[in-house]
Amino acid sequence: MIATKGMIDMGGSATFPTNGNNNSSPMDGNGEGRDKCPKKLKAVVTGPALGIATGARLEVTLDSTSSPPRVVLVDPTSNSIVGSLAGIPNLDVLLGCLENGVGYRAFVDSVDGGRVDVTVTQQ
Amino acid sequence: MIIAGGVYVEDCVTPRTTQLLGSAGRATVALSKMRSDLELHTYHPPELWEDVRVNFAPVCTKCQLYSSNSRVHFSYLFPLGRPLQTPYLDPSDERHFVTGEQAIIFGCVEGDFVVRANVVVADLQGSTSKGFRAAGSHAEKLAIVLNGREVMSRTGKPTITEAANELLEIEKAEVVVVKDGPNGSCVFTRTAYPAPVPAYSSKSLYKIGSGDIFSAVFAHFWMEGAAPVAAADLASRHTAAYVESPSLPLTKELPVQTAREPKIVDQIILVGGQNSIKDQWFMELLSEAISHLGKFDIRLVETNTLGHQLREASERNHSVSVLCIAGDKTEAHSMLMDPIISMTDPVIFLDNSYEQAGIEVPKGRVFADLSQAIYELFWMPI
Repeated sequence: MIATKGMIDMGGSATFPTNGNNNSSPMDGNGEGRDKCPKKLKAVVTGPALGIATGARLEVTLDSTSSPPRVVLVDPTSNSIVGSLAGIPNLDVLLGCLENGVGYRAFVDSVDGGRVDVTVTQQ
Repeated sequence: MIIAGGVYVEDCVTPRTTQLLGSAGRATVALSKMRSDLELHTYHPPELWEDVRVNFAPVCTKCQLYSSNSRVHFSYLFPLGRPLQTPYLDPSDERHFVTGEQAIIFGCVEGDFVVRANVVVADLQGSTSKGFRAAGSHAEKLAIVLNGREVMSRTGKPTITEAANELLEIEKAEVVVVKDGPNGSCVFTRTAYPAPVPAYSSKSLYKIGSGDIFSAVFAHFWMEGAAPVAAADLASRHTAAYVESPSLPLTKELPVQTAREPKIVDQIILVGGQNSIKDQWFMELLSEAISHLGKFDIRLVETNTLGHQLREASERNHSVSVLCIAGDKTEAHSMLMDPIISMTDPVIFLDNSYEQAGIEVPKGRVFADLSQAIYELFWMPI
């Protein structure tokens, strides 16, 4: 189970400072637990940039300039962020895997207007 | 701006989607490019707080979580269908207090949020509380957003106008916005006549969360100083853009949009096979989904009894919309060639292989998106 960060009140609530670091990890320091990292997941891209094409391959990385880090999709040809992943169950697990060096790529399954669907696959 | 409400997993079979959003999560992500002052308040099991934080904290200034026992899932077969909630939660006395300058409060299955704020938009869909002020909340300026069925059930009044006016009084609200699905919405205030706001055209209809988008956009612009009708119109336009292409966050730019003219409908006739449990189940499912869009008679018929049904409706001066369900190309083609079906206007077919197959459609409109086809029943053709 992922450890919970934040100030927990007696009433069973927590406020998360948005300048904190996410130290949760599905793996220990030896890189064991990679099996807990998702092999494949489907997602709708948040804030997709114009020009993403069906069939494109994108890199999945962390944008640590935001707090907590965002999982972002990068177009390797322009090296620019073309969207992020949010509103996805178990995103914390994926983020922990990325922080621990597990590589992921995203394949653009479809582009329908502003909706971009991707399949994220472990490398 | 405080956004308080549920964050839920939403699964949909067609189109295939799994998201962690819910009303509050969706509103938070939706407004994150328009505002930099968002505070998300929601319930979740403590072991999943980190997941909520990772998803939403990057787009808000504060992520306040309250303990619940289970992560709630809503599963849809298609976006207009009634979702299956798991686990089902008994009505709860759970209450949490939130205080701020501006707030959007959504109804929540885990419990209630009691708010004290200067300006509040309350979208009470799904809330079991008796009302905003009855639950102990306070706002100097209050707008309530809900649909026609909810406004009438909350007040016991027989018409939307009576119910909205009653709600203005009971809740001491400045504005009540009543959403009416394909017919758009209507803005009620204490100082002006009710103002209808149209629904805008979209090429497809991803309805999941459309109400959340409407409330969030209305709240944003109303709190920025827009008049209620102008805020509702922008909400309707952004909602149309969202259902056509459900991409978040929202941006201020909107595509060119056409207002859809509503059609008076007394009776909906669903034409499709009923020879198997599968067919009957699907027709009943459609009927149930359509029944939530207004008050009208719904008839399920097979092609060979459509003529009888149309004659009966004509004798009663009923305005009829016909939705034909084609199970395959052969069935769809025979429906298109049927002299009685081709007399009805409009006729809406659903087989998405049609346009690809290039079959000539003599009359009516063909839609591959089931939710879109249902909404088209209530609109005049463009």
